[in-house]
Amino acid sequence: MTVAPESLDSATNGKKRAVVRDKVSIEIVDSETGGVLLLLTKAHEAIIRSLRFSPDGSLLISTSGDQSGGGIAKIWDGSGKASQELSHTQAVHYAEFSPQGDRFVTACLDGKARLWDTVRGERVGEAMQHVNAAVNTARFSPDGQYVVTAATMERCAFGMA
Amino acid sequence: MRVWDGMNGHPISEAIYLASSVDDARFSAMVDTL
Repeated sequence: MTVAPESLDSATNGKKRAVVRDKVSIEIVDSETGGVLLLLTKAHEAIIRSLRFSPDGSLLISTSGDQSGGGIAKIWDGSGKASQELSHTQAVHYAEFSPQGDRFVTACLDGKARLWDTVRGERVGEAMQHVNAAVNTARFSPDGQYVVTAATMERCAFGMA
Repeated sequence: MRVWDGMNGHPISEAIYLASSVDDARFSAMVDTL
């Protein structure tokens, strides 16, 4: 059964729910009681574009642009510390962890999606490059074996009839 | 859209061109079929 995905500006993992507040802050609440567990004030410089928990709920990844025209993905631990800050050349529209939690993928408006090692915060493999397109999303398949990327404005390979 | 190896980013498919935009729910459903 396919479950409709959450919106990009919120994420749920078990009893925890993360939501964007005031465009640049993140609030983590108890999804049953609504009580605030953690508030990450001004977590990003620019509008937060996506939030996703790791499969075990111990980490949260958030993405945004920044004031210099680049972008960033941040991984937050359970204490609210940004354990990793990964700079990109343009805004990062989306990121998510693999089903195993050992990798994550970022989708960047520079036309590339990138795989990362969760523990080391290092790039894995080559960038997944679209042509003349901004990558809007990158999703792992349910078994983590594949990544599917979607982009807009990619140059069509076929001529007009 | 494109499909890549989830372990190393190697390309699996050529670009797949869709006639119209795909909303998030439909895209997720497509990914879930892999």
